[in-house]
Amino acid sequence: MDWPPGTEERSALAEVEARLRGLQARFNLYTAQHRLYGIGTVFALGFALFTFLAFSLSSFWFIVAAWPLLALAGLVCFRFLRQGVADWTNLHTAARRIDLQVGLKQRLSTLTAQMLATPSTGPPASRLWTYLLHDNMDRLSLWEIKKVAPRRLPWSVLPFLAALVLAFLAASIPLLSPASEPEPFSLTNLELVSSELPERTGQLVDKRLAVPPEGFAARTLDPLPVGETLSEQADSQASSQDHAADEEGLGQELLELASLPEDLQHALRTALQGLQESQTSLDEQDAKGRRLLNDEQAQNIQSEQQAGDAGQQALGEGQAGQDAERAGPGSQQAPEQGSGLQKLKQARLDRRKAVGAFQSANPQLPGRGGQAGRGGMGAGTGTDRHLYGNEANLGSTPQTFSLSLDASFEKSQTGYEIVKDEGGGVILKSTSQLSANQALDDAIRNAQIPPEYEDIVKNLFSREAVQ
Amino acid sequence: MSETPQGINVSASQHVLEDTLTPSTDLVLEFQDTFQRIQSELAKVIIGHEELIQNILIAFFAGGHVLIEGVPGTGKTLLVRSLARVLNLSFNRIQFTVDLMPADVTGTRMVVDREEGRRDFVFVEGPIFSHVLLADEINRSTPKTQAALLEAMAELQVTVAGTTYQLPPPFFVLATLNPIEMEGTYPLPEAQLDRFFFKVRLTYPTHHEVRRIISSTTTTVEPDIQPVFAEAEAAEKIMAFRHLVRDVLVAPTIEEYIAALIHATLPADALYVNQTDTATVMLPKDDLVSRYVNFGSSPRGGQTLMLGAKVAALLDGRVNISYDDVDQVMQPALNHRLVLNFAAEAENIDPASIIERILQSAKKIRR
Repeated sequence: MDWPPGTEERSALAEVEARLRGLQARFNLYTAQHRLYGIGTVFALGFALFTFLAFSLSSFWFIVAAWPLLALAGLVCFRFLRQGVADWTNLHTAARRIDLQVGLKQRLSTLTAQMLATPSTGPPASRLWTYLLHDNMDRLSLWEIKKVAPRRLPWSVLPFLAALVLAFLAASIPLLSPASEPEPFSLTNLELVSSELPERTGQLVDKRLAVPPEGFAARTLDPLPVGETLSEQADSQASSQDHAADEEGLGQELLELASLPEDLQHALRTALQGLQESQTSLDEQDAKGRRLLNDEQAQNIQSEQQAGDAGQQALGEGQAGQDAERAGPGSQQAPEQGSGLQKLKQARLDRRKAVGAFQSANPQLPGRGGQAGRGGMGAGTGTDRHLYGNEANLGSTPQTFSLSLDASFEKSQTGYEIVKDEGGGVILKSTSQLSANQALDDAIRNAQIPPEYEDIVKNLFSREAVQ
Repeated sequence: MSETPQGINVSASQHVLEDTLTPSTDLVLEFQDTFQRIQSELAKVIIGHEELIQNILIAFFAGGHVLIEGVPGTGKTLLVRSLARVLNLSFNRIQFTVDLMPADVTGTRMVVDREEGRRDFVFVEGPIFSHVLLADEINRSTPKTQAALLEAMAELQVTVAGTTYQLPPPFFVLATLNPIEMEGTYPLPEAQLDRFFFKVRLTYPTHHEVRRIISSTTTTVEPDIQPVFAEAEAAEKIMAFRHLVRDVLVAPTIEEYIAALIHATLPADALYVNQTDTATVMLPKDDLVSRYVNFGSSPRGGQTLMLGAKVAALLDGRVNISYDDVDQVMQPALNHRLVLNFAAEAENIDPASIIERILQSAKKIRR
């Protein structure tokens, strides 16, 4: 053939080369996708494995296992990349692949070799070069791009998706794990509750009695003020119930304890046996305490009347408008608050003296699941050992007493009957029965009360009796 | 796009390209046609052995020589004589015997009395001076005589008394070997075996073929063999075809494939093997080769593979070699180039089985 080739040969060559380059690009795209999915699979599997190990191994073993795994993942990724570079298709490789795929018997690869090896100005390698070009043009329709390399995802997308699902599942371990859901009846939880119950019960009672909300305490502790109608009292009770709702979180904890089965309750009672041992001696002191409570109640009523008079005088001396409206009932309650809250403050002061200057006034509440709640500065990590006063006196000293509550604190507002005891005192007895869910309130009922709260409790019950 | 008679869509540029095709296309088609006509004419006198005839023709058009191994009476001489007749070339036959001298093959200088009373030395050409030479039972002559023939085969010339005489092209030697009656024979050295392009085995014909042979050759009717070339142009045409064969194009991957095949015939611990070869396309060393092969194929075997594959490609209507073309000629091209050891002979392992094993493993490196 003549050289350089004519226009026809050049155009035919250009047509072959253009299609070959199109297929080369398609092959390389496929290779890149394949390798990227491979690397993605490695990353997803690595993530899943790391997540699983993080949840199943200790921190030490996790670190021990993490570095080799990281190195392995890096090695595999490097190998994928190197393989991708090695598999990168040039024109020769593309021609060979097409030859094998379509069955061209190396026609195209031979033509490509001739095409790329022959310089444009040099002589052809063979006089059969044109024949080969013609032969390839005859078979051009056999290796169209759509036929040889149709657009499709590489098979490596399947392991990649599987690895992604695996990684997602691994990441969902905390959500799917049974340990992530509260299971109150698991043996571990029950043992934990039974071990912490005496301590928590004491803390709950202490919180209720030592830190009552301001309005709630005034409402529940005070008798019906002079001149207040029943409807006004209902309103006041409604606002008190709002405060009670705030306390519902604490009550809910007790309800959860009360929802335990009876045999478990029995086990808990046994755990609290130490507290119950002092029950009998405290019962005897209970009657005495109630009498003292009645006496103090009578004194409080007198002091309230005096305070009411003083309040009327203060109102008449110049307090204006709305201030007077608030000051009126406030002044009527002043003697009562002065009596009850002063003792409460005194009790807090005594307690601070007992535990030190850095002990928080509010005792620490243990958190759920056995985790310690956050305490204030100097609160320590456990319950105040001096919460009930001198530890040596607990359970044996006659200075402590036991509350015999028949109902929860909220239930006490629903119905009581006043009976007189043998000493002429007034005993407040609840007419409400404990619900089944409150059966565990035995622990509360039987809880020991520190001696410094004794006067407050007596005062409270003497007032309820008067009401 | 339009539809060709072959049912293949062709583009507009291809139509234009068809008009620009050079006479090389006609030459390719003529080669195919000639080859088929030769086969047809030979089939008139040689019953069966189609593959053998094809291999002989491949070697002939590739410019090589063929060693035929076969028992007596299977038509070796008839085949060569018929081939010379079909090609319309000169033909000679040498029956090799123990007392055959080199001069009997190449020719010698003789004293000739001139009319004017002078005496001159005149070179009298031996039977080697022909286009087609049948060297019958070449292993019965002494190595010296064998060497004289083999030198002429390799160099296409003979030198007698310091004078070199060119052999007329095309020169084609068909030597035969008798595998029986080995007593008193001189087996060809490996170096001389290597000079044969192909070594083919002429096996016994089948039952059906024997019936046809005895029925067609025992009557008064002689087979009418028609030459495919005119006598004046035969040599020129054949040489043109040989030149065409060498023009067949080869992809680099095919060259690598052939080199890998040749290298695969070498035992791993063979002498003179470069152990630091770092070729990219290498076949794993076959255990069979390492155990039974003393010496593998020489690079001349690779040349044989290449040229034989080129002829095979032309016969298939292609001007480029494919892997299948190489595989097709591998057995006749390499089986006389593998020198097996005593263990192979003891265990009845022949070169054909080893080559077959190499071919099986070679399919893995096709790319």
